[in-house]
Amino acid sequence: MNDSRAAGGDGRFLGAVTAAACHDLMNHFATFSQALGLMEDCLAADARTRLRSLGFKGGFEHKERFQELIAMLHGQLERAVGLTEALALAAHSVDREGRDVPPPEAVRALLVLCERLLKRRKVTAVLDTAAPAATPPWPALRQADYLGPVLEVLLACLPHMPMGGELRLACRAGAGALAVTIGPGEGRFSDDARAACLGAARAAGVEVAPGESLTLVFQEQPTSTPASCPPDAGQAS
Amino acid sequence: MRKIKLLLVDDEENFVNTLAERLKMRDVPSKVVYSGEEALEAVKSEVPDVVVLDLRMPGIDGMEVLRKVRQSNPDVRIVILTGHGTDAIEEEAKNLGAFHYHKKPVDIDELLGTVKKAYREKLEDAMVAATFAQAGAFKEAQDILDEDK
Repeated sequence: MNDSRAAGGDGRFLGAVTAAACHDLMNHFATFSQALGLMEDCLAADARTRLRSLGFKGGFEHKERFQELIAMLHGQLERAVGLTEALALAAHSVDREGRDVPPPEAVRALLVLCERLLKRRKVTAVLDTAAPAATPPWPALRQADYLGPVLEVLLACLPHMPMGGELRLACRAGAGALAVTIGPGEGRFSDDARAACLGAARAAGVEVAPGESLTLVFQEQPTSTPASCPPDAGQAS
Repeated sequence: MRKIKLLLVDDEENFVNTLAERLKMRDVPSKVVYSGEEALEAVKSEVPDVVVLDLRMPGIDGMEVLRKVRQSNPDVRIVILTGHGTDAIEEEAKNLGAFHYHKKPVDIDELLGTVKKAYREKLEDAMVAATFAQAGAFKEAQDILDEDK
């Protein structure tokens, strides 16, 4: 693992700043959400007034259009909240040991953040949630130790994926290591895709387990204790 | 049934004022303050039944308000409503006696449900304590009230 940038001061700084910005965004989203809710409440109150006056009073001409727009904004807000949550989770990656966020959750957050990139080729990425029955404790890794390389492999693979294809990922723990398997939805990677993935993994200094599937192995680093970061970074607001 | 005495504490003025307006439309009026200092003053001048409290605020932060109010008025129920707290922060707030922990943005009816539940629990505790006190069992009555601490 040679992602020294992510593990170093720059990474920690960006992680802290991103986490803090995400928390601020959540406050803004909460205000949008309440303002939209108030608009809905006002429309509903208007409808009640109209009902009470047997339709002779009140009544907003554009009520239905407004309701449509409010619903649309709620939908957009939901997407924004999902993205921000994923970003906040990934942003913590360089600040803390990964023990408090299970790797599948962190990888899922990464996939949420990559959605737009994947959409360019209409590729969907699915995280296999059918974990083995007895999962040992997840190894002590910073999220950046594995999220960065996984992202690099995904990006390398993407141009070689068929339009509308599917990527399947799975996380497993074992013997002080985390294994992240990346593969196509059906069959096996094309030679080009596999070569691109292997090249990206090698460039990131990641061990690849031998075999048909592409499995990235991240060994627990006994010295992967993060340096201190601003204590307030990433805290609640 | 008397109205819930509800105190909303958040430094995001637009957010908390809109929230108060929506709660009022649902027949739950509230008092609004914008800082930890104002919250402590408000609790001193008129003890609320339930407080909806943001955590990160300039000056005295929400966690400190939670700690102080739970010490001075253990029967006040405190509902945390925060931007994006971590699991560790949620655990800390619950250990300090927070009734519930919501993350923003929250659905108004969900929040209102929590507030009503908190109020109901407070009333029930007070009624049970009063029953014991009327029967002369003052120690038991005091124990019930102290359970909130």
